[in-house]
Amino acid sequence: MYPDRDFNIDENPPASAKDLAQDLNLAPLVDAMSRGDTFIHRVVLTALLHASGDPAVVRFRQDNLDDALANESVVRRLYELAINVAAEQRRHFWMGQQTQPSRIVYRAVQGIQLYLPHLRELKELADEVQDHFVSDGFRALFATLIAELNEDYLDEVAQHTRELAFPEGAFMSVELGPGGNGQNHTLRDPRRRRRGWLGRLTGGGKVYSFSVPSRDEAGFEALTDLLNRGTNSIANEVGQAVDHLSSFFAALRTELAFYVGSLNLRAALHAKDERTCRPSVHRWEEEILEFTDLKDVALTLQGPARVVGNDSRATGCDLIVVTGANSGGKSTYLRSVGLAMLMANAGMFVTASSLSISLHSGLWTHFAREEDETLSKGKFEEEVARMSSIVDGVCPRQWVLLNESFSSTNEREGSSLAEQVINALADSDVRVLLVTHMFDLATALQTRRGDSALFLQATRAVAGSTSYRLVPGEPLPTGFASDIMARLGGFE
Amino acid sequence: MSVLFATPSSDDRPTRLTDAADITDLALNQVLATIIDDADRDELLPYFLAGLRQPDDVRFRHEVWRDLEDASLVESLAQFAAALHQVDLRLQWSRDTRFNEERLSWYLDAALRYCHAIAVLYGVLEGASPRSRGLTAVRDYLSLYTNDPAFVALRDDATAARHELDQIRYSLTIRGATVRVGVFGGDDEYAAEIRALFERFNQGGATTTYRVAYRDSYSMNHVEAAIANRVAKLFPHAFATLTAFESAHGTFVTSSIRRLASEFKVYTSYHQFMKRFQPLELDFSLPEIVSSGDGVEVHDAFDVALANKLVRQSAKVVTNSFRLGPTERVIVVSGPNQGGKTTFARMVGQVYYLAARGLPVPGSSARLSLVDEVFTHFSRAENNTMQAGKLEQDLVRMKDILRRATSSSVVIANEVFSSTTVSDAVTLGTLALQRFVSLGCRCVYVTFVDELSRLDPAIISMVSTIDPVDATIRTFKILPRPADGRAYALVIAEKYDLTYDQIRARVGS
Repeated sequence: MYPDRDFNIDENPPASAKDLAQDLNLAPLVDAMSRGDTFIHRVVLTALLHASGDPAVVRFRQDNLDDALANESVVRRLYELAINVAAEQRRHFWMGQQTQPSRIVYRAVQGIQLYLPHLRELKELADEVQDHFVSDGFRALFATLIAELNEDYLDEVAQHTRELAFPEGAFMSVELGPGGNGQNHTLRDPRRRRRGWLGRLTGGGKVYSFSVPSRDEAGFEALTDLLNRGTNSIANEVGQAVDHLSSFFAALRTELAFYVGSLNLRAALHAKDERTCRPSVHRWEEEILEFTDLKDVALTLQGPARVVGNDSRATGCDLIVVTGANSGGKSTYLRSVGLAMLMANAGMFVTASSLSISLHSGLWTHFAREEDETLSKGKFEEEVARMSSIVDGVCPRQWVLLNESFSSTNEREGSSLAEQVINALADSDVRVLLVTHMFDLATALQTRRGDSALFLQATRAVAGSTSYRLVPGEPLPTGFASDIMARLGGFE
Repeated sequence: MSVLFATPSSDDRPTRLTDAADITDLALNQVLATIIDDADRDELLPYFLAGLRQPDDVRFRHEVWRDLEDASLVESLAQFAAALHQVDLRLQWSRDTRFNEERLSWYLDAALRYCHAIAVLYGVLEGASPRSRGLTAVRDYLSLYTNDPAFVALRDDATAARHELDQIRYSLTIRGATVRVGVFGGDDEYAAEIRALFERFNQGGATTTYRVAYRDSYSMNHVEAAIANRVAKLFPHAFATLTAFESAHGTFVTSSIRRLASEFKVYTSYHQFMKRFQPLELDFSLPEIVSSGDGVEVHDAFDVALANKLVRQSAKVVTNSFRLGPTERVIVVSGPNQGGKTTFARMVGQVYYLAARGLPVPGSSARLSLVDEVFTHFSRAENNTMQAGKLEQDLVRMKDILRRATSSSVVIANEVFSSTTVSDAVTLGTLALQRFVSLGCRCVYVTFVDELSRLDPAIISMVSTIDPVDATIRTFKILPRPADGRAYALVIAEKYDLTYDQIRARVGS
């Protein structure tokens, strides 16, 4: 997922995550990618929500994804293998909360034995398929597997697991503690002792021995305690060895899940005969945003009807303002752009004929909400508080998407507040995409920021139809509420 | 030698203890429970209950506190007290065991710890050059004690015996029920070998630790004893040295040292308590002690009991200040409910209470007189009904206070007479306040009757306040002023920091 580091699936979602999921309607996209696999769900969501902002990272993923698209069955097989190991581990093995070191060692040895055959399997698969891949990510993965999992190494691991059962007794060194009890019990390599080094290890001196009588339960408990203290010196190493193996397969699964999810999405879109393209990605400073026939991927996946795409050229703009008719496809446009931004930043393909985009480091949404979620505050104050928490989190090099913000108060107040917010954000290197019906706001923004802003109008694609396209145009003084009212036949 | 009392006569157990009811009203019982470990309760509580009457006794403790502004010194005193406790434990174990090797070992360990603790404390005090009478006396005592031939012998013999034991390394081979004990001479790193074997799978993520935390076992079982017995045979010289050490030194802990550790804990436990509030940026300070005719003032103080609770929730604690001129005696607190009036009253009482024990008080700075007693009269909210019985109880308690209070006392009265009619509350309150004024004691009087604040020039008015911006926000600030207006409007954007300039500043970097 990254050329130089591991993908962290446990990363906390950004503060914008909850709003993004709701406002951009992420669910259909993530569901189509995960196909019920909760693990893919997590990985994909994490990838979508955490933007690196780095074109090198995104291109690295795009290359890997191209490889995955060309070798679908191998990638799915690798993922299956990782999934199956995890499932087998869940069924047959659990370190559990062991309180005795000797139990830890015993359980851990079982664990290592469980992973061994799968390591061999993985190595064989890598040998077989490595030549089919060209991307840096997949080449590096296969090279690592082949180098690290060689035959000699796997044999040595097997031998160690046999020794750790202590077939000839546990051998340890001990020092004298403050109360006359032993301390620093340290288990020593049983192989060296067996090879006839005993004489030297025991200093060549006298050896006293005694036995605990078979009915002395307290005595056996004491022996167990000594064994535990001895094995404690290696319990951590053996226990962590199992964790390392487990995390190795988990990492394999994590690194592959995103690509399997993308394969799933491609299949779903192909079934609907939708086209996708690999975005051309750029640094934030280049201020690039242009696309042709961009469709709302969530809407495409959800509905039976073909979705209308939009074209825009917003290169050089730090503000996009969409005005015009109610139900004029403004929100759909906003969502389609937001989703494309997330997907492009994650390294995925998008549902468009073309997309050139500067990468952001974060995305925020502020949508007018249907109902007041918090009862303690008025609706307007809730909106203001939500905006304030966005300002808390937003940083330069990020986008904020506003959909009818501050429409819960009268237009004069709402637009003056929105104007302050938008100007301040845009002047702080935060780009804003705004959908509004507030004419005062749109004209004020045009006056102040017209040079670096794109203004779009919602218009009927075909006169009288319910399809809309967005075209560049000056803000108009009213929406078309009366149209709609008329179409609905008024309130009667 | 003492770090708590200037003269031997003021020493020994306190005679004047504050009423338990007053302690409870001031919520100091909870505070003391936090300050003092349960195990130390009987040993330390009397020191915190007994008030000091002589300004020189207070000064004596203040000197020590000033030395203790060096936090590492406090840490050293705490370590010394803890070390002495560990010594006692080991002497106990040595007495209790039936195994020869164990008895010898614990006795040696106790002696080592004792000598080490003494040496460390002396070194610290030498290096810290204390200025207080208390700590310089301790340093001078230790200078003599550490050169005492008996102490020197104890230290040298113990060190030599331990050194011999440290050379011992034996091997154990456990197979079934059989244990073989021998001399060990190898050095392989088995754990490291295993770690290296699996290192290549390490993904660098969070790792579980599988090492079980074994405490050193404190009592020997018969298998350990059997092993120790074989080890003694394998290393006969070391164990002969140990036997000789025990017979040469008997009881080695002196009573002066034991007493010192106990007195240290008064300082270290209170210091530990003050440290809890550092994250909340709440200060403690040593009050300047003035005579009862002088003005008093405390800045940025807080209710220690409330803060003690809030600190666990990392909640913000509001501080308050107060000031009384030389001729002023009474603070009448009124204003909106739930505004922190009771907390304020409690705070004033606590400040006087703590000051009279030579302790730092909550606040960034303080000037206070030494008081003989802090009386409290708190009305219980749940009994706030118009019952004759309740009013009578209130009056009885008030009479009792007026009988016992002197010009050096402090009285904290909270919503007294609130169980009666307003006119009764005015009449009774007026009578009580006039008595306090003529008595000359300091008093905080919390009431809803604001005309009481205008009774006499010796009375000042303080009020609980609300947020000037949002009337629904309580500030818990108690300020010296007459009744408050609260007509303020707000621009919501400003409240949420959403003006152009505010956003620019917030997103800025």
